[in-house]
Amino acid sequence: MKNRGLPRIRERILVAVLIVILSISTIVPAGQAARAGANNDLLSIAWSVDTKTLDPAISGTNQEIWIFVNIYDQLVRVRRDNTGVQPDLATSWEVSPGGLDYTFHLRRGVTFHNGAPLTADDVKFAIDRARDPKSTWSWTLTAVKTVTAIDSATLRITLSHPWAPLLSDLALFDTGVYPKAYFQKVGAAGLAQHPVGTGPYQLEQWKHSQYVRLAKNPHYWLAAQYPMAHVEFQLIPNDVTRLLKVESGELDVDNVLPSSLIQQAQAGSGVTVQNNASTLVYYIVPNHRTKPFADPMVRQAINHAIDRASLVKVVFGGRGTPANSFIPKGALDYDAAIPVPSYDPALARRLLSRSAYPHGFNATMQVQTGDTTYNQIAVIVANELAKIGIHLTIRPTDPTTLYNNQAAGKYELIPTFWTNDIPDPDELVSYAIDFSQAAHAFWTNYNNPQLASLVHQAQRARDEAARRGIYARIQQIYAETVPFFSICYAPFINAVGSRVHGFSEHPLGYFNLQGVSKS
Amino acid sequence: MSRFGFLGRRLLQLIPVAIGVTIITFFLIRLIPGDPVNAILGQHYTEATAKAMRASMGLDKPLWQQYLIFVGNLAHGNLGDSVYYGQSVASLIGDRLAPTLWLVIYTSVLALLLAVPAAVLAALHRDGPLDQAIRSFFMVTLAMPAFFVGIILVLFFSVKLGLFPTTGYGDSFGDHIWHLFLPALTIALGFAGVLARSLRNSILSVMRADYVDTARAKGQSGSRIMGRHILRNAMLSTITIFGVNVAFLLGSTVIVESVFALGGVGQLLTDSISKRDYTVVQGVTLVIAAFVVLTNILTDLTYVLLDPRVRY
Repeated sequence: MKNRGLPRIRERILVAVLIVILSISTIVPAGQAARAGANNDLLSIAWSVDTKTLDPAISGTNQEIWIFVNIYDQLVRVRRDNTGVQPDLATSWEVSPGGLDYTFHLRRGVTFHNGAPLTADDVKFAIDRARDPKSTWSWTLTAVKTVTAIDSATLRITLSHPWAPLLSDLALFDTGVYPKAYFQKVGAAGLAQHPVGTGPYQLEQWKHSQYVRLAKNPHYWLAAQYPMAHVEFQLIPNDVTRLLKVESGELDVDNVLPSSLIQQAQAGSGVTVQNNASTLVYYIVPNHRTKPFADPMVRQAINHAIDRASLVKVVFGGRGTPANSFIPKGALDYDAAIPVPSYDPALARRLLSRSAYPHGFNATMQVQTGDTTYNQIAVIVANELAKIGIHLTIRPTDPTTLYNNQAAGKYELIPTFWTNDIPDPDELVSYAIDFSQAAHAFWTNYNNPQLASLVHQAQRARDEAARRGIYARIQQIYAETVPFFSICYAPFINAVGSRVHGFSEHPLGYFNLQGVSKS
Repeated sequence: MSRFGFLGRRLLQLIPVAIGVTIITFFLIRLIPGDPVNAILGQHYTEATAKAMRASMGLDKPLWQQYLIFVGNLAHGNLGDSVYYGQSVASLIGDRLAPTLWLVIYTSVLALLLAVPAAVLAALHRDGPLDQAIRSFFMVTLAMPAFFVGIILVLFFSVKLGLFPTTGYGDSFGDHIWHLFLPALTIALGFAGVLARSLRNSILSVMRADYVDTARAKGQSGSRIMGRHILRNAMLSTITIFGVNVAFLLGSTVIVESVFALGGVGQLLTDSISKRDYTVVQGVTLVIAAFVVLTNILTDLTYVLLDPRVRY
């Protein structure tokens, strides 16, 4: 009785289902076309961070920086092997005998993406804006007293005191040059959305929260060396989706391959896992204003309680090396002679017994939510420290709260990382060691006047060998006093489609697309 | 009351809802430690830069002044500017609303296409193998987290078969249908489970009603009884569940937006909360609140179509 009307209903349902299937099958051919449609003119690179601004004076986000370097040029640029700087918008420069005046001669015939010719006035305008206190990176240019356009092709930078890292600081993206007249017309908000530079690529289309697509600048002075007609930086937040897209040929480069997916990436056909030399270092920073960590014996004990070699194996699948210094391996003035702190729990316990906390203590480690690497490091370190009686509570904290707590000194331990933005060691060393700097020694509040004085000497020393000696001394004192814990050096890991040739990530993190092609 | 009077009254309800939402979000988001300056500067935070930035964003003003400025702008139809993107909040939401609305509507259609036939079949075969199979299927889809279902669908339909794109939203109507099929299906599988269970139970209880027997006694066909008498009445409770869930979908598509890189409103909201982009959080919450109210009005209006006894 209850099924009396069923045959007709079934018929209708079948018809409905058929309609759905048919409508889907009509769009299937388009799908197959798209798979093969990954064209050879477009290089697609994906990461998990949204692009908010393309104004180089404001951004501090790595992924935005990596877009800037393709759009804007500076007076000088970093060499591909990160060993120093080479000419870019400036073809040559002279330094006055006292080291206070730098005179740059600009490349002739350079035009902006909007067709306007480059003049020294544009360069002066961009540098002056970068050193305005409202700009994020103004702290790198505090030694600059004046910037003067001598004529349309000559620029003079006068310093208030000698500043050895100047050329490196001028290679930083924040001094990327845009036309003064254009900026005055569109303002900072206009530049942030519609950037105009002199670089190898210009903005083609920006679909917010989806992709930033660049097109080749045919008037770039090295245009012939940039085969890719288009480059697209895509936002794909999900780690697995990014990798699947490289595997299916829809994407060329996955720039944020987490260590947990490396094995899968290697197993996939058509994918190469690249380990690019980097300036990436992982640290754990303690707050010296919290009692246990102000005790040097406690820090020494922790330094010997962490098994760095095992950590590298577990967290980075062996792709990395235990850190012996806080300066990145391969960066200028890195001292390879300093030994990696030995893993010796017995020694760690002995050192702790000589501290004010012979039986250990409890502490909290705030860990950025959603970051697999930090979380893995935190769990391993907590486990190691428990063996010597230091019991850590891991507290997941969202990034902005974490930055706030860090700046306000409301923390005990935080795992963090660093990548150099310039080849010169001064950026990291003054940030991490010099208490008088805004970050108060990597937010540790560690105040060592001897170290600070060495940092200042290195900034003003004009002799390369003398600087190297000062940085070696700084690294030695660091190893003895352990202001914070250097854990390991890790490579930049990218999953790259096999059709891509000549791609690599620069040790400073960005992609120089010179010579990159697809087949 | 006329239907227009009802509509007007319900739309007026938007005003107190909006005021409530602005007050709650304005103060709640500011309770979380850290502000946009912390988020923008991150590791590069310096007191001098932070002070200059806070002043230029108006964050150095007392909280009540900031609220009045926000409400004042809102009264002029201006949601303000995002401190992080440097764009107007309206344009930010405008850019991202389309993929999310598309996803919500597409999901709803797919969920109904799956749920209604399945519920009818399950009810007609009550406790039989087909009923058990349908109920078990939806139990599984309901229990599986969306990111997992999404990845499995991508793995099978995109990577193995190459039928659908892995990510993106497309540029034309047909393109949207094609691009959003997998994300919509991901949510619809779980959503259909909720709808099908409720609808099946309603159908079963309505089937026992006297008027269904009367209709049978009058010799009406099975499909007419099901369509006109049973489904129409059974749908009422399901429509309520449907309405509540559709409203909920707008803000909760974030996981699927992340898996399929859709760049929608859910993603914008979570991103803005984490970056303390106050104006964007306020704007998006307001738009979602308006959507919830409008969906409820539409749900109420649907009752009129289904149940002649309902009058507004």
